[in-house]
Amino acid sequence: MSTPAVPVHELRFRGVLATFAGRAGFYAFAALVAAFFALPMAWLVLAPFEAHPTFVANLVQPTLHNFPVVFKNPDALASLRNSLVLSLGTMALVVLCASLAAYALSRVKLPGRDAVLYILLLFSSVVTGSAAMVPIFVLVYDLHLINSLEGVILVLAGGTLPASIFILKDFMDSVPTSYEESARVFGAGPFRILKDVVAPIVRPGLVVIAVWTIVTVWGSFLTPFILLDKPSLLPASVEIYSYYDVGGSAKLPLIAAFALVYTLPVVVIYLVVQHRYGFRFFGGIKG
Amino acid sequence: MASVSVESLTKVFPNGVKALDDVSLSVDDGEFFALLGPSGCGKTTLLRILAGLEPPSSGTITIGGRNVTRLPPRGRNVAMVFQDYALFPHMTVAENVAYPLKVHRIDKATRRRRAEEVGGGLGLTPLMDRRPGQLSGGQQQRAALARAMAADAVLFLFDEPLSNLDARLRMEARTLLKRLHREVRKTTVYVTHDQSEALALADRVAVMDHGALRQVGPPAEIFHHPGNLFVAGFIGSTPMNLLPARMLDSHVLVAGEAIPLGTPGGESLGGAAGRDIVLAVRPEYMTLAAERTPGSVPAEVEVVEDLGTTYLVTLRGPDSTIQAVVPETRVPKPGDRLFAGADWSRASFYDPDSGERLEVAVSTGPTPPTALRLGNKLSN
Amino acid sequence: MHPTSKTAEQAVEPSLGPVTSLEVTGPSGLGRKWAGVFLTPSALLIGVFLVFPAVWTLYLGLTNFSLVGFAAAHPTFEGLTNYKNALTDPEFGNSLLITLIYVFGSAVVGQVVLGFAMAWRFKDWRSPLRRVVEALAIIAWIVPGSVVAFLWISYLQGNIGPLIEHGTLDVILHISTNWFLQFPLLSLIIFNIWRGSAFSMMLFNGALQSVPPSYLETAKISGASELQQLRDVVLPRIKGHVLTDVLLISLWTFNDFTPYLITAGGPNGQTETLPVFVYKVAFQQGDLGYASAISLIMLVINSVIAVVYLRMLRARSQ
Repeated sequence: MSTPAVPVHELRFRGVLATFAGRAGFYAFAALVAAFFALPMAWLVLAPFEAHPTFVANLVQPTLHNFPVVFKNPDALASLRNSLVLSLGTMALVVLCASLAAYALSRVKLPGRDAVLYILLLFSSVVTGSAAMVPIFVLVYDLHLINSLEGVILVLAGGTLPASIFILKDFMDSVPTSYEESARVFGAGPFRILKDVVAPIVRPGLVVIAVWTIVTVWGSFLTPFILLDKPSLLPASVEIYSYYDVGGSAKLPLIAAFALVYTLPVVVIYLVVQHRYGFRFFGGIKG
Repeated sequence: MASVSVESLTKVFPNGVKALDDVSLSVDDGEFFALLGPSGCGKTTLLRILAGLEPPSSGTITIGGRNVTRLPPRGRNVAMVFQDYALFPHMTVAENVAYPLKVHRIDKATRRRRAEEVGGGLGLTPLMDRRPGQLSGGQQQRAALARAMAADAVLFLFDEPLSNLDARLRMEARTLLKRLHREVRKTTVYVTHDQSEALALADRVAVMDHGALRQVGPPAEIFHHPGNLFVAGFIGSTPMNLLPARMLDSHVLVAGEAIPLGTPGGESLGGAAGRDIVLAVRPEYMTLAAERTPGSVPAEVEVVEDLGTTYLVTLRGPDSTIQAVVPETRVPKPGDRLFAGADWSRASFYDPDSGERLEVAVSTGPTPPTALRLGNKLSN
Repeated sequence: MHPTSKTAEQAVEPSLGPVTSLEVTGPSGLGRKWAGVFLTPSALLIGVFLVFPAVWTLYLGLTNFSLVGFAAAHPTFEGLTNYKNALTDPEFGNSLLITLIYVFGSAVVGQVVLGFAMAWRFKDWRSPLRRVVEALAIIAWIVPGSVVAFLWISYLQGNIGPLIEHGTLDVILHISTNWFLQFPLLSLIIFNIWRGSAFSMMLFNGALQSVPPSYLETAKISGASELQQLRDVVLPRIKGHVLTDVLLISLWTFNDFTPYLITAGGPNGQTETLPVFVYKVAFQQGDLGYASAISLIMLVINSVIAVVYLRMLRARSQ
C-alpha cells in the first residue's frame, strides 16, 4: 500500500461517500429487481377486486363480487376439483414410488445408478416438456386412457418421478445407516425399516417432493390439454381458457377472480415449505 | 444361555481389504468379553458380523449352540448398542425402548409397560416422553442401553458405546455398565479402542491388530504379561519401555548391566541363551536413584511431565530412551544424571524378530551380589 | 398394529419366519432382490410413460401416422421422408432458430445473469426485505403457466380487438407500444427471464454458501476489486453449479410450452418455438408422423446440449 498524501479525515469522508454511493446503488438494484418481478403480477392482485376488470391492472371500483361468480360457476368448481384430484393423485403415486426407489438406490450399490438417474432426470425435463407429446398422446390413446384423469396421473407421475427420486435420494443419503442397522438388529425387515425409521427421518424430503409434485401438476397445462377434452374433466389450468363469451371476448371478471383462486393455494404452500425447509431442490446436483 | 463361538472367521471387503484374517474365539455364557484394538484393526467388523450386519467371507459363527453364520440379524436374537446410539429421532424414549417389541408385534400396553420397567431401572422414568434430541449425551446412552435390554436378546453387542461421552460421564457410564452386567449376567461382546474401558469392564479381553487376535485373556494377564510386543506397546497408559537386551545363561544383560534370572535362562529358553532379546518394563515399575544400585543403568533426564499425582520422566539411557513414572515427592530436573533401575520381576521378554513373549522368570527379592559388570557389549 | 396375545417373554424367541440369506445385503440389509422389488413401481412408470414414448418417437417419425383420416388407422412406413422434409422445411428452420435464440437469450444469458446477480448482491443482505424480493421472484416461478400467460398479456399487450387497450407497462411508462407485435421474441425472452430466474437465484444462493467467507475476506484484504473477487475466488469454486444450472434451465426453456399460451407462435411465426411448432403440426394439422420426426430432432438437439455440458463438467473435475 502506498502512503496516501491525503489527510485522514478527508479519507474518512471519501469512505463515507463511497459507502453511501454503494448503499444507494445496492438499494436501486434491489428496487429494480423487485419492480421487475412485481409489476407483471399487478393484474393478478388488482383485477380480481375490480368491478369492471380489463386487461390493464388497475383498481377503480373495488369489489368482491367477482368471487361469487367463480364459486357459483359449476364448471370452475369442477375444474378446481379436477386439479386437486390430479395433484393429490400424482403426489401420492410419486411419493410412494419415489420413496421405495430412492431408498433402494441410496442403500444398494447398483452399477451405474447415479449416471442412469442423472440421465433420466435430464431426459424427464425434455420429454415431459413437449418433445414426447405425440407418442404420449398415441400411447394413452391406445391404452384407452384418453379422457381419464388416471391416464393424466400416470403420465405426469412418470415424468416427475426421476426428479423426485433424485431429490429424495439426496435426503436419504444423508441419513446415517446406523438407524437402519439398529432396527435390523432388533428384527425389522426392509418394509418396516422404511416405514418406521427411514421415512419419518426424511420427512422433510417427502414434504419437498410432495409439494414439488403438487405445484408441478397443479400448474401443468400441456399434458391435460392434449389428453383430456371432455369439459367436465378439465383441470383449472385448461379450464381458464374456456371462459369466453359467444362473441369471443374473454369473461374477465370470471377469469381474474378464478386466476387468483387457482393460483393462491400453490403460492401459499410453496412459500411455507420454502420458508421451513429452504432450497433443498436438486440438492444432489452439485456439479 | 448363550455362548458364542467364532471359528476361522475371515472377512475380505469387496475393495480387497482384509478386515479379519482367520479369527477364532469363544465367549462363555454370561461373560463380558471386550474386543480391544486400534482403529482399523477389525474389531468393529467382527462385531458387525456377529450381529449379522455383514456377511463373513468364510468361517462359522455359533450363538447359543446354533449356527447363525448365514442368518440375517432378525434370526439371531441379539441386541446392539451403537456408537452414535442410533436412537430414532422421531420417536420418544419410550417408543425407542419399546421398538424391539413393536417389531415382534407385541401389543401397545405391554410395550409401554416393559419400556417403563426397563427405563425405570436406568433412571429414565422422567424422560420417557422426550425425544432423543432433548436428552443429554449420558441420557441418550442410557436410553440406547434400555432399548437393547428391552429386546431381551441372548447376546449384547456394544460398539464403542461410551466414546461419545465426556470423560466424567464415561466413568459413570462404565460403572453403570459393570453393575448392570453383574445383575443380568448376559453374554456381552464389547468393542472399544479404550484399554481402560476394556480392562475395567471385561472378564476377558481380546487384543486385535490388523484383523487378527494378538492376545486373549483376563485383564490382569493382558496388562502384566503382554503376549507379544504389539500388546506390550498397546496396553498401558504410558507405553512400556522396550529395551534392547541380551540373554545370557543366568542373566539378562541390559545396557551393560546384568540382571539375574530366577531360573537358569538357558533351560527355560530352550537354547535362547546368548541371543538378543527385547526387555519390556512398564514406566510405573521403573525406579530412579541418584546412586548406582545393582541392576540399574545410567541415564540423563530430558523431559519431566506432570501427570497430576505422579510425574512421567523421560531419560536418555545408554542405548535407548527410558521412561519412568515417579511419585510427586521425588521429581528430578532435566539434566539430572540418575540411575534407572526397575522391579525386574515385573519385566517381560520378547523375541525381537517374531515379537513373541519369552517365558523367563527373573529372580525377585534383593538383587544378589552376583550382579556382573560385563562392559558395554551391546553397543554394536 | 393389531394387538396380539403374545407377551414380552414370548418375544424372546426370535421369529424364524422367512429368513433370507445374508449373502448380498447392503448396509441396511436391503439385498439386490429387495432393491429390485423397491425399484419396480418406479421403473414401470418411468419405463412406460417416459422412456417408451421417447423411443417410440423414433418409429412414429418414420410413418405417415395422422390424427384423423385413413392414415390414422393404417399408417404406412415412409422411411426418412419426414426427416428429409424437416431439413428442407423453412418453417422448421425458422422455428429452430427462434428456439435457439430464445434459449440462449432468456436462459443461458438472462436467467443465469439475473439469478447470479441477485444471489451475489443479496448474499450479505440481512433484512426481511430480502425475503420479500426473493419471494417475488419465486412466486413468478411457481404461478401456474396458464395464469402467467394472462399476466403477461395484461402487462405487455393489453387488449386487442374492438376495444384497444395498452398493456400495464405502457400505462406506467406513458407509451404506446404493442410489445408482442413490435418486439415479439424480445418480449418472450424478457418474459422467460422473469419466469425462471428464481431457480438460478436459489441454486446460486446455495452455491455461494459453499464459498468459504475466509476466501473472500482474503481477496478483499489483498485489495481485489469485486470483479476480481468474482473471477479469482467465486467462479472457480461454483463453476460446477453454473454449468448444472445452465444445463437444466436450457433444457427446460427449450421444451417450455408457455409461449404457446401467450402468443400461440405469432405474429407470423415470429415466436413459434419448436414445442409450439410440434403442437401445431400434430394437433392442428394432424400430421403425427411429421411431428414425431421433429420431436426426435428436438430430443437429439437436447441430448447434444446435455452432452456438451456434461463434457465441460467432467473436464472441470479432471
